[in-house]
Amino acid sequence: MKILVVDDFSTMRRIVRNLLVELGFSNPLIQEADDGENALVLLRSQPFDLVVTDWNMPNMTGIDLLRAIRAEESLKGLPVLMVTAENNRDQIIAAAQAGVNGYIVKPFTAVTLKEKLTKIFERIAASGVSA
Amino acid sequence: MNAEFDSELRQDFLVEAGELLQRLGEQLVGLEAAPGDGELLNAVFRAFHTVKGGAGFLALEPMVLLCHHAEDLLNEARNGKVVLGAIHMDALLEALDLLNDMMAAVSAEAPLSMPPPALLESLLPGTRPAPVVASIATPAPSALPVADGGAIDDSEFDALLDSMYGSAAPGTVTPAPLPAVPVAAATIDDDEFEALLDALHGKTGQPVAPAAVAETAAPKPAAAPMAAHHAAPAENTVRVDTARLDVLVNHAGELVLVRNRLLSLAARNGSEALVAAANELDRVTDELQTAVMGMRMQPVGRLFQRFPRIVRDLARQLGKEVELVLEGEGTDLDRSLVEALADPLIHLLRNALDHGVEMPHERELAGKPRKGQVCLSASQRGERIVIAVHDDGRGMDPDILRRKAVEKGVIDAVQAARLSEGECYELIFRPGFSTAAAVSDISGRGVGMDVVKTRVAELGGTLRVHSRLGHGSELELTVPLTLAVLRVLMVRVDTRLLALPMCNVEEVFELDDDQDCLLDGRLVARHRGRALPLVNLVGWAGALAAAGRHVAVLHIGHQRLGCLVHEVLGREDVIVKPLGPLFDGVPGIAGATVTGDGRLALVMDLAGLASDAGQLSTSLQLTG
Repeated sequence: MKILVVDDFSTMRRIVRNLLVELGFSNPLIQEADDGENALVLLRSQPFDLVVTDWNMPNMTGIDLLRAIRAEESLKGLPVLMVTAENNRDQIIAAAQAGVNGYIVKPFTAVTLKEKLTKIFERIAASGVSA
Repeated sequence: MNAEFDSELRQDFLVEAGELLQRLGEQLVGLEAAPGDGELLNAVFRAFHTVKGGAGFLALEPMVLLCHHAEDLLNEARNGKVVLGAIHMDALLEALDLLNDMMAAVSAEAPLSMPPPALLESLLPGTRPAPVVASIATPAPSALPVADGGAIDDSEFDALLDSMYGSAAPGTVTPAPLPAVPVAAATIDDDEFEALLDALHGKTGQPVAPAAVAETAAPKPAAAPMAAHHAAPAENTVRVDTARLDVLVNHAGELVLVRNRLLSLAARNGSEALVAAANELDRVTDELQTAVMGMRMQPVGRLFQRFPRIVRDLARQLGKEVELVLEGEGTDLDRSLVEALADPLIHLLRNALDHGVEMPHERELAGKPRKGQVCLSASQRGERIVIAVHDDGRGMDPDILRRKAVEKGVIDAVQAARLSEGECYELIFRPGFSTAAAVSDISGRGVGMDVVKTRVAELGGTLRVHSRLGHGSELELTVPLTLAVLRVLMVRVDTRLLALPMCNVEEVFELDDDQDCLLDGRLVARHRGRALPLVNLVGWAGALAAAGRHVAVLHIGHQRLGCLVHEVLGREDVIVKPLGPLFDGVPGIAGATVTGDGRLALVMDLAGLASDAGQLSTSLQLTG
């Protein structure tokens, strides 16, 4: 599974990458981008199976990235997990409306991440449409 | 996560968050001056936010708590619910200080203590606004199942998704209009989120983009879709441990030495092919050295960015109004110099604020704006970097300087009377000299300008002062571009080789028979219409031969000095090696190096030599 981790803080990308590897995802298949704009360029250049993006980033925020993904024909089915600093209701609802598949609140453990990913893929499987 | 990873992570965090915090100092001061700058406010908010996120993963609870409070306050400011006042800015700066302390503790693997409740209290936005209704906080349809600004939990989120999409996945179906889903007041859980997704996207499987997206999202069009497909922006920076960088620099340095030897061999008895190869090596080595040196370079702005904060605090403490202007932040400087210059520059800034800039009412009386200006600028001039601290304050009065110097016993009245205006300013660098009648706790911490000057000299630099009474002063600090490779002038004194740092060498000439004479018991040469004090390096170098007749003119700070040598051999790039503990601290010697032909040469420390020579004649520094 090819995963794109988007965060402007490289320490955080490294944390997410390591948690994903801990869950058994292949390290070489995980790529990183430091903001929404660069993420979009990468997403358009090669196929990905999952995006894990931070919310708060300069240039293009996570929510704008999410909206851009959903608006683009070739990307709109791509599962997006949003990383937020707090489970702020308004934010999560805005993200849900923009088409987010799941959210996870920092800091999180590998177990929580796994739960979130499982839920996302369960929902995708249930919808009968491959992402 | 395993322990090894944790420790690596901590290192990453310290570096990256450390950079954010360092920038934050400057940003906060900027924000104080321009509270309406939304972009700056966002940047400040994001910095606290990012540090909090990282600290959370490292389980640094006190740091998370502190950042969280700062972030809350800034968020209120972002939403226009609070205007950041002086109390808030002080609290934010105090929080920053504490965060820096915490970073130091993390680095030392010491436990963190919780931030003081008083600080957290002062970070509160004052009268907290009543909970705001969703119509302000959320630009969402009124049919939202959840309408307050509180937290959300997993089941709520699931319910949310369910209500939007049925059991389908976002991005695969059109979300249904949001029904009113009853939810808990402040939280949302997974089930609720799922429900929300269901509601948004219905249970049908039409793979269409969510309707909300079509309406609300204005995704930035790809600027150049074609180019975008080809250019995948991977990471284009790599963090390298400075120790590894130093190894590379050392090897490149050794290579320079071998190159020099080879060039010298080839020049003496090499075949044409060897000479050609040696020349090729010469060129490649030069390029390699330049590249390696470039890697050690850092913009001086990294050093400058901590100063606005210092100046702000200091101005406040002194009751003065001061604006710090930074110029030339992009000037590159050797990494080791960036750190080494921090303390001297802080001292110069303190001095400018304390002694230079007047009190606001004094400035008004003098017809100046209340707010004083201190300008810190950097620029490159040839092989050297010039950093100047300029203030528009009261300037220095040569007569007062003379009088003080005599009062303090730094010089006697006769000497004082002989000093030129420029030499009077130089008095501030004399040990035991301070113009402040009462030693304030700002400039006078037992560290005088003489210590600054010595420190700068240790870095191979010089410090000059210019002043205009009533208009301000300027202190100009000049340092070599790099410390790793030294460009020297090789000279021979009797049989010994000495290397004079090129940055101090002004010119070289040969003495005419009647050009030198004794003046006041001191050997001087008439040169370019001035008396140039001469130093006979024969005795200094422990040789016995008669003095040479070649003179290398050196400028060291404000003084000029002629060194008598037997032969001037030429320029060379050398790597200075320390002499070892036995010879550590010998005045006038910085180290040793291996020359092109494999001989040893002593590298001179000219600042040390000057003070050594100065002891021979107390008037040297003044007449030079």
